[in-house]
Amino acid sequence: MADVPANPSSSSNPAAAAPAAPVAPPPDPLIAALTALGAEALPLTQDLLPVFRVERDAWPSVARALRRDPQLSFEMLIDVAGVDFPKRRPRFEVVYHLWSLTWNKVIRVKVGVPEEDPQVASVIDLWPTADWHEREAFDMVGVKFAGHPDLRRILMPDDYPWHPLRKDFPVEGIDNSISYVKAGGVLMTRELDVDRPAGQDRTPVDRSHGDPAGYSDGTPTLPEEGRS
Amino acid sequence: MGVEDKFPEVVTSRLTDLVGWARKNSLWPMPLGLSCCAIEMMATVGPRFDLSRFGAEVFRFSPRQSDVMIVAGTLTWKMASVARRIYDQMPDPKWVIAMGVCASSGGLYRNYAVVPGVDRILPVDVYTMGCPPRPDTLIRAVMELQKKIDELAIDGRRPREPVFVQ
Ligand code: SF4
Repeated sequence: MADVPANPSSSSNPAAAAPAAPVAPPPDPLIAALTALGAEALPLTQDLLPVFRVERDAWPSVARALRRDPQLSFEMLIDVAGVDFPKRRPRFEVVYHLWSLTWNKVIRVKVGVPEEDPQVASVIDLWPTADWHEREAFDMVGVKFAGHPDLRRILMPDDYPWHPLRKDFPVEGIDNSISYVKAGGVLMTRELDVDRPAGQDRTPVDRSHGDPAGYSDGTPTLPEEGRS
Repeated sequence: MGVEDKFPEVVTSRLTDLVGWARKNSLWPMPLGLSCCAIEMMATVGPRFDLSRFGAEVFRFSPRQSDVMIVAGTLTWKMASVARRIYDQMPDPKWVIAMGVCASSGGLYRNYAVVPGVDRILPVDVYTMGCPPRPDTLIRAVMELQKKIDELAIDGRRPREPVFVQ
């Protein structure tokens, strides 16, 4: 409000008036406080949540202020998500949704994480619920959370080598049975694909040649008249 | 012209048939309820559909006491070794019913996490269609399995052709 000239005729500051933002955001003490902390306010999205981008190095102090500052007091961490933007630099983003029960405000904070050093500070000491959320973001996207006491995979098997929600990971997986086979499991062929003599149990699949026939794309296993 | 004529209270049979008859009418399922299909499996044992009419109502949560594993739901690769270990703990003779399209083929999931059909890791005897299959379909699967058990040799070797129930 202060920088809007009260009297147009005075025009004491023409340089500030000319390149003004097309839509001035409403003066929000929250935005002011966060900007003072070093967060960059991003344009509103469709869901009208205030969105902020925080530099990775500033994130621990910003998070501490968000949680502890009585003017902000975001007591609740709703979720932590890892997002992969393959064409952007930094490639990954960790998105936090925070809810201040005191002020009934929800904000979204995005922290960019570069691919070369996919690491961001854990917020588990501020919001204990971040424990499993960060494990999931690590499991799915591969962002590491420094300071997390137990950063294991949470959804995929412990010895799974990939991070399946990265955009360059094929949807249908690479070698999905890898953990099962490593644990000593034996894969079987599909009944329809083999002409197996009755009375025999199924033969193990020879995995040295990749996927068995019929599991890869575009390999018809049934004759055309057998279909549909 | 036989024992039965002379002693009307006596019934003669082949031992194979007798054992098969006992086996097929006292199937104790091991419910491997992995997701939504398990709800229909529970409905099947309820009073409305009443699987006990076919002798298969004694759901055992210990694999060591069960004959038939009903894989009801989406099997993930993380769960796969657990499912296989449960199957290995079941005493012979044992059977597997793949309930629903998820268990039969992976169903609507074709991704890194889901096993494309439990027949990748278990020998399936009866496949069941539906997402989820109605309780009738599961009962039908149990009946088809009973037919297979009838053909079972006494040493427990089973006819291995799977049955597809629609
Ligand atoms: S077949 Fe359908 S109902 Fe059954 S587990 Fe899969 S998705 Fe659920």
